[in-house]
Amino acid sequence: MLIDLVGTPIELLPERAAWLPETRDLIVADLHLGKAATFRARGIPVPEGDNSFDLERLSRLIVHHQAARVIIAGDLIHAPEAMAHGLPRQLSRWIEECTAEVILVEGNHDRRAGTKRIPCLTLPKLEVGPLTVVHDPADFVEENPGISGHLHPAVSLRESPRRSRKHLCFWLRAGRHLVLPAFGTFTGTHPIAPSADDRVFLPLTGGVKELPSELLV
Amino acid sequence: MAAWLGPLDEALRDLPHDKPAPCRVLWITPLRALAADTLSALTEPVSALGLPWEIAARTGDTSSYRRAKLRERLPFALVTTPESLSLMLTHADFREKLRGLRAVVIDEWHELLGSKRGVQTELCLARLRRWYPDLRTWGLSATIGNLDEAREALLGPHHPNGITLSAPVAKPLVIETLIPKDIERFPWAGHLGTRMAAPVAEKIRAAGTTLLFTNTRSQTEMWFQEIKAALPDLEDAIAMHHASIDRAERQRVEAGLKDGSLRCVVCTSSLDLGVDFAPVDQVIQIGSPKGIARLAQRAGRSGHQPGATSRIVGVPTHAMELVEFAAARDGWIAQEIESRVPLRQPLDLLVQHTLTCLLGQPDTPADLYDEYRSTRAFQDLDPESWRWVTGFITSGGSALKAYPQYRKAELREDGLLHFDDLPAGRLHRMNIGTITSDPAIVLKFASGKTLGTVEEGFITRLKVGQPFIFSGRQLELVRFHKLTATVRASTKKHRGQVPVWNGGKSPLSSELSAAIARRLHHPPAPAAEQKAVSPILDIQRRWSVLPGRDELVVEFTRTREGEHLFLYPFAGRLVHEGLATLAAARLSREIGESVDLTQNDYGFSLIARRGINLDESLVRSLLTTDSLLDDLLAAMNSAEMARRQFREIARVAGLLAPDLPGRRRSNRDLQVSSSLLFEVFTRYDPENLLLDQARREILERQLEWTRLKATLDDIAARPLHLVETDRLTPFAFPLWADRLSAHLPAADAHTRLESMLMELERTAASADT
Repeated sequence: MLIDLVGTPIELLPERAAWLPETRDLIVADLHLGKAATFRARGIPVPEGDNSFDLERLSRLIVHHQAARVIIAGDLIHAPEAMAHGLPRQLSRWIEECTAEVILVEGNHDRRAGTKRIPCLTLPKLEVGPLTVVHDPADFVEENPGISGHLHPAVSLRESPRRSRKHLCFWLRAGRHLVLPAFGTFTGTHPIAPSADDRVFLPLTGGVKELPSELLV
Repeated sequence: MAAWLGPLDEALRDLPHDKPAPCRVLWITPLRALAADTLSALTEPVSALGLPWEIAARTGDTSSYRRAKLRERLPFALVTTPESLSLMLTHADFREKLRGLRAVVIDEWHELLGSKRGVQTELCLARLRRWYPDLRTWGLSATIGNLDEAREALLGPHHPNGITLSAPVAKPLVIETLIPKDIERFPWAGHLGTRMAAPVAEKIRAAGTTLLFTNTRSQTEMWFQEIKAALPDLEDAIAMHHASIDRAERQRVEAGLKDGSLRCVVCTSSLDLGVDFAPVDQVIQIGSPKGIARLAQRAGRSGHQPGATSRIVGVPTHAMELVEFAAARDGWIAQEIESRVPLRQPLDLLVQHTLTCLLGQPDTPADLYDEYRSTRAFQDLDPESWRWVTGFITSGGSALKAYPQYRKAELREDGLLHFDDLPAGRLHRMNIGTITSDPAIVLKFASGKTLGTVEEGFITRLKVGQPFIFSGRQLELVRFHKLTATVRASTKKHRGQVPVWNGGKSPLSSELSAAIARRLHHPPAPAAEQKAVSPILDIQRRWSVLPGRDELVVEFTRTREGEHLFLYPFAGRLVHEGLATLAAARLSREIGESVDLTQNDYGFSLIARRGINLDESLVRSLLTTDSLLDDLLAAMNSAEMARRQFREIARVAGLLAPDLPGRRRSNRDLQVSSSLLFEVFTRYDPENLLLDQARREILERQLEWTRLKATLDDIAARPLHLVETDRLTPFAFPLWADRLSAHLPAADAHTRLESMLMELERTAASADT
């Protein structure tokens, strides 16, 4: 689904990513790699699997769109424990083999985990044309338009007269700030309360659909 | 008290009377609220004899200073809960400190039996008995239907000589009912029914002291308001009590009842138990009695003196509850008291308890295995499952598929399992226990005074400034931040909503369900309640037939919502949930539509937008025993039941980090929802036995597999009575009005959402033209 953010066309992808065709930038947020490992390191047994699954999903997207850059809008790594084992090596190899330039806009989790051993450009924020990419939408300078992550937005939808269900979403706030859904598989969601001048988009198997305001609970 | 005087007498004979005594008695109580009462009851004879023997309590409420003191030196008798006892097992010196232990007493055993806390107690007892084989075990229980099983669970299946002592005479019990005057206008479904408030208030005024029991915390809040409004002159002598209210406030209410300054306390099961509870003049039960034993126990709060009669006044909140009170009386007279069936082999708990034991001292897998097999719950534990448990705690996965970086316990070269990782051990200690609930949100005034707790789901739905009622006060939300909601007194005109806590809906016991079916068709004796409700039963007869157990009545009704089938097997709520899930899955497969379902204690309903035809072969095909297990497992998956059950299991097995108010900040990276964990396990470790346990627990506990199958066999032998009705009948209406319990989707979530969006676009387009 193609939207327009103060003159910049952005395609919202059902794979929970944003594609900027003019600059050939692919933007994702909140992978939380190594979350399962963090749990295990603290004595909670969770099976391995999601890291490679999520990196492969991202690789497929990059190849499919022939992206020039892939911008990660924060929280690539979940916690310090995640960096203690195989993850830095796995990530280095992935970045090396990646056909696009990888840029990390640091998130709160990345800062705690430490990004020294990730061989890619790491910035507190990034300007893409008129847009700013940050991790936490609280860091937007009021009037500047931009793209962020951090919130893991989700909406609750009525499914039948008697039932509702949580669904993750893209959240366009007041036509200026786009909040991306979390890209990582092993991540939670946070319910949002959109106001009247907001728009909400749902990533569905068949494509991204805008949520009619009647369906918001 | 008999259980106390034995060990006390023995100590009097062989301990010096002028010195502090070593720990001889452990007294386990199911509720920490009971610990204080128990403590004073046990202390009385000791201080009367002028002995310097200390008696102390250690529960979740005990201050960390007191706990540290108790770690240094255990008292002569220690009052504690199963959770606190488990916690003490993690201390390496606990065994040595108990060297003088002679007796362990389990108070109100019926309250623990039948739950995972009961199994936790069984495992703790096995450990104590392995340490000290001569230990005597006492269990104290109210009347239940399966005392022999209860004794076996307490002593283990191989214990040679257990003795059951019963009180010589059952206390006489009178069950009365407040019968509404205008039954025709009485609600068919339970809509709070506070219209009985005026006659209830009269009863309260007429008696000295009253306990007013309700079935849920929300009802307590509601009735407290009603009673206060009806008795303005007694306003200060009316109080309320439920488990979510702040502890200090609860203690104040308990003291007020004892010293007589309170005339009436509106309460939930939080006041069901208590050794030395001040007896009241009158007990009133609002709403369904739920069970025969439960009603008798509540009635026992009155007339405590030997020889006195216990008396309880039932107040129906909808018409059928009149029959329920009459049936409860039938059941009491016939002494058909409910059983509490002990659980078998909850592996999540075994994972937790094994880590608990290893934190205390290293042990060999073989010795632990033998210890566990001496309990009733794990007597049939097979070596393979035990290998899985040890594998899970040492390497995470099965032996073949270890989780990288994970280590909790470790099998070292000495042949012993060790668990000595300090941070993991701390996390484990915080995690001990089996009670799960939504994260509790603490309600506070800006001054810092705490009021109690509500569930997160309630507070997140509130907007700032929106009024609501808690602990009898009208409040409004000021701010909600990190598990604390700051509130202030509200002066707004309208009263606002009452919080709803989960787990409020306990089912009618199967004994009571049977008594109700009997009362409807073959009443053992005339009853005023049944006479009062007869106009409504007549409507049911006129529009349809009166359901019962002689034949299976099936009603079919069309409403604006769609097409409804109502079936009335009278097999109890849990079995109905299983039957409804099974039938809904089969119906959804048959007609290709999503099917919603509701159930209550009398029957269940299936709702689809279209496609239901009323014919005998369809109903029979929904309730056939052919491919029963496969269909039920498939239904369970699509209804997301396994996912729901997994929450409790994940919590007990230590997969969810404890989410406590004021938790350590370092745990914030460990926040995860159980449903996300369920997905990860299903995708990457489908053989995990905890997933298997989730399915098994639903089959056995939630859907009562054995009874479900028996009910289906029974239905197959019964004639069907099919009726098409123009309107919802008195039996159908409560099912229609009930909240949806499950939803059997016709396709996956994305497809459903897409078709929903398409339909909405079509509607919008047709509105435009």
